[in-house]
Amino acid sequence: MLVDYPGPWTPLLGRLDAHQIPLQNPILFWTFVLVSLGAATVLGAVTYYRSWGYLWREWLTSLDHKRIGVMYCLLGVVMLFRGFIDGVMMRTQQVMAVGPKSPGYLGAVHGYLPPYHFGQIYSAHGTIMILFAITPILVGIMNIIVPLQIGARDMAYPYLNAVSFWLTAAATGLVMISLFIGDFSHAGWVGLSPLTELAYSPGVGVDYWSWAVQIGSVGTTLASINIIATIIKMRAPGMSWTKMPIFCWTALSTSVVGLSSFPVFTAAVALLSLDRYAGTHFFTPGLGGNLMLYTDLFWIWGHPEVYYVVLPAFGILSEIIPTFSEKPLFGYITMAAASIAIGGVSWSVWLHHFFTMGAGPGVNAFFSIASMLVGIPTGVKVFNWAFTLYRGRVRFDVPMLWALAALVLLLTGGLTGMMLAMPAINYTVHNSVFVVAHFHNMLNVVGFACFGAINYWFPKVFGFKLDERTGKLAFWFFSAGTVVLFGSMYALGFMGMPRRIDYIPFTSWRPLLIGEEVGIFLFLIASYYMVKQLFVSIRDRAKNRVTTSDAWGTSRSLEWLAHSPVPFYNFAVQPHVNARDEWAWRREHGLGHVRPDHYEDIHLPNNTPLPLMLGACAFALGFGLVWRMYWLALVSLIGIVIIVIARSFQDDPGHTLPGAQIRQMEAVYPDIPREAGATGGMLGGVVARHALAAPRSRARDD
Amino acid sequence: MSTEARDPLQHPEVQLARGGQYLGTYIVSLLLTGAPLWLVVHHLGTPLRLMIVVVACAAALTLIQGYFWLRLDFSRTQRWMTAAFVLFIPLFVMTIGLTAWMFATLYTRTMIPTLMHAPAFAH
Amino acid sequence: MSQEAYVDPATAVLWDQSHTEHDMIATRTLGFWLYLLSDAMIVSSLFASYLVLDHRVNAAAGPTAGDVVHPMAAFWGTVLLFSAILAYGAAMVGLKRGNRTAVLVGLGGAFLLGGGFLLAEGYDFAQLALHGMVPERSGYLSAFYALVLYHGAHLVFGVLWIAVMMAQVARQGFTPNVVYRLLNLKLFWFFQGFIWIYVFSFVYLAGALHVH
Ligand code: HEM
Ligand SMILES: [Cu+2]
Repeated sequence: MLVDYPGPWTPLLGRLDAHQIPLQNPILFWTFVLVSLGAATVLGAVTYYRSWGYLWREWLTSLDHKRIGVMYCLLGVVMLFRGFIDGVMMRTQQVMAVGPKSPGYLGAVHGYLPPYHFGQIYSAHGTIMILFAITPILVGIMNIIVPLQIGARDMAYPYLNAVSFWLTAAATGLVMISLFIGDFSHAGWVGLSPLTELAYSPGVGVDYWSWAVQIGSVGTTLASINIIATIIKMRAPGMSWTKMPIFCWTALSTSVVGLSSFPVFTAAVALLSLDRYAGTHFFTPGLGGNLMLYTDLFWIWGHPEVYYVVLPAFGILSEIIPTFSEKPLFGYITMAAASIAIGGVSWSVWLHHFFTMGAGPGVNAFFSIASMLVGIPTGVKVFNWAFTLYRGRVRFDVPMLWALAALVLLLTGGLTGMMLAMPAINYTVHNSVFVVAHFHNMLNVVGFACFGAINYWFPKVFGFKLDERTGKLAFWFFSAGTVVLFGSMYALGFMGMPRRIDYIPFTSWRPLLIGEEVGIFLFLIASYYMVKQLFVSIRDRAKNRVTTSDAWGTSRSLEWLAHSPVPFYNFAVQPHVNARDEWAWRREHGLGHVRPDHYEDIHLPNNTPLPLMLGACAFALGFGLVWRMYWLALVSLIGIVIIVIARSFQDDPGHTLPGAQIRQMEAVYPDIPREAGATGGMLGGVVARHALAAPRSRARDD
Repeated sequence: MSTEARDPLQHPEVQLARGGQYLGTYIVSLLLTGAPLWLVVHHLGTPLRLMIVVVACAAALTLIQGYFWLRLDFSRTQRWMTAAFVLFIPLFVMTIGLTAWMFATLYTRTMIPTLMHAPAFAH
Repeated sequence: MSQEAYVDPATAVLWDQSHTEHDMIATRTLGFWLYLLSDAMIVSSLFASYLVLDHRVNAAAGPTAGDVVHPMAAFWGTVLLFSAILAYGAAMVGLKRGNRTAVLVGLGGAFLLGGGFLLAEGYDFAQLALHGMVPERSGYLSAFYALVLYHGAHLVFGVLWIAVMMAQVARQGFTPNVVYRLLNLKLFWFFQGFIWIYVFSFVYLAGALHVH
């Protein structure tokens, strides 16, 4: 054994024994009961409806990018809820534990959460929200939409796509299981060093955190590779770079950011794990370690990561706003350039997260100026959206509401970011809840964009719209909650309240803490309406069914050319792209309903359970390492190697879908799209006399 | 799939292989690692000058191996790889360079100078 | 939209019937190259850590670079590694001609030479360990081992992969899948030489330059 840690170790179970299951903690006990009941219900329902085969064939082993995307989103939404519950618990603790006279329950001196438990909750909240909620949702959306927008049949590497997903799922599983077996890190989502070192956190919590994020970040790196290669190599004929939808531009930029920054994160946490498992001294305070080195490596990833999440959000806004303004996006070229520029600049600003480290003034000035430079391309984007709205025929459908509110949040979040980027201000508010308010403000931009995207693209994937009324209620409660909660939090930040505290010494802060609690109640109501929206929409799906490919009537990019719901082969025949907003162009020229004149065979990859098995091995590997069951880690590692090699020997021949069958399948779609109505666009109202006699397809010979 | 129907050995990336260039690069690589090694081992120059030589040789070798071994050029087959590589270079430089810079200023401002200049303990 | 070339909607081509699949091999190699670049970011992080921890304070009164590195031994490693790459290059020339034996011989050579590099490196580390220079000794040594061993771990993986590819070439011949994997392995194998240039220059040569 290279390192010392307290407690027993056995070869078979490692550090695991029955005491590690925290049944004595009533909160965890009841969570455990609830989660078990929920899981039992789901499993029971699947068994009762005999859906195991369906689940296995159509989802778990699927390589279809839409299926994988939906699973990503589902995973993200579930984790969003989990993270939200953590948030509720933190807010409630803080509002209960104000002042020395505040009572304590369940073993806490004040409030109901002892510090160690509170620490785990905020660490889990941050880790989950950024890495296992927002990131999977965004990757899921990109997974579904990017191939459709570029007219591809799938991602460049369908198999790798499934692998990325199952790795993310495995990592999520590790975070979740830490609730019930052992505990989670209490060192913050950033992994505050040297608190994460074995000497200060001898339990398994930090190990759960570190293996989960390492496995998850491998998954995200692979997903980024996939999206980049898909965009570079798989665009439909005719789709030149300047005809590519902006969402794809942001997906490209974000994936470049992800591809280049996630490895640094993996490296930082891997070095930490070496400290904890092999006794090295990278970040230890003694024997020559340097704990700021961890902070540095973490933020080299950490800042690009925040742009990793915000860029796709910008892309989503750029799709929603033109659709509901009934106008083309203003300033396409600058929008694309700004997306790339933001990705680029995001790489040179990371020190603004530790200005107070005490590097030289030259260093701080460099990073301060670089941080503010981000404002330029972001400003370009904001103006472009504003000019898109200007003189548009704006409709306030649910996606648009989310998008417009996101713009407002972007302004306040961006401005507070600028404030934080000035070292002089930063020294006074660093590590206060002002920072927390700032980044929640920005991450809410992402959240709003995601909710907008889900409402916007839902009919494309499932063939029916989400309910409008409940959707609007959810939106308004959510927005109100955002303003009330984070407004109070900004104020508390100005008053100097530190972040991550489980006990608040000053009763004068109580009113604002109550304000935050009110905000979280509004969020609770909003989440009730979100669940209700889903429920109502599924119940009334016949009524909400969309009969055309273009669910909103005014959408613009290529994905709206595919049927709703999108068939598994996406496009029966690959579209040829003629214009920047190809679907809008076809619609406005009355070409929307023109079908291909004959259908060719389609070649598709076969399903395979191997990605799922790889995910299972990764989970076992992480679990084995967390508990130092080295045999399990070794066995699962060997399992991974064997699966990879076996796959390389078993060439997937795929299967072919005959053209005649596609013709039949296509025939069931009744969608003759709405002929071009007058729209506010530049091509508004043009109804072309199209000559159907002219050949509409050609064999590419260039 | 039409590409699969074609002979994979005719793929342009397969056809990139050039025995003579591989061999030439090999020899140059050994020279450009051997020469600085020789200078360093025999202390032929001040540490700063030698360091400059080491860096220059490494940079030259990067270009040579990149061009003749990895074939990073702007031909139609290779240009995306080259572009990706060129885009990553600033990131490598920034990760290492900015980190080194910030810690250099940090160390000079926070560490006890005598400790920094103390002789190394021989083991 | 005004800046775009006008396409006459009456005659525009709307569907592409050519069912051209995308160039599978080029797509695969591009993705793998992107992976290699992301891997190089890990190496960059390790280099950054090495630079930060290559300081007297981080040696914790233990050995510093000058005591640890043996540039001459590293140079013999360099010769082995570059020769292994050259052998792989020979395999690629064989592939171009469709000569299965040449490919197998080249791969076999790369396998042996790569293995030789690993043995030499292992011997060097064993010597260091015998003198008490183990990663647990100090921050500096941790960073040194992490960087050099990360490169070494890649070679272990590469050697394994070469073995797998020899089996595939022997069994399956030059199918598209085998060919793209050989190309990917080429990128991987050549890239390790690339990274070794930096390890050799900035760890071994620069380490030997440390003044006392
Ligand atoms: C794009 C969306 C953004 C997101 C998601 C975001 C997220 C975050 C996060 C997560 C943190 C702190 C985390 C922590 O300390 O635990 C943070 C802090 C910070 N952000 Fe942002 N941010 C965004 C935009 C910006 C912008 C535009 C700027 C300024 C140009 C900025 C400047 C800062 C600064 C200076 C801090 C450090 C504050 C401190 O710790 O003292 N951010 N942000
Ligand atoms: Cu930042």
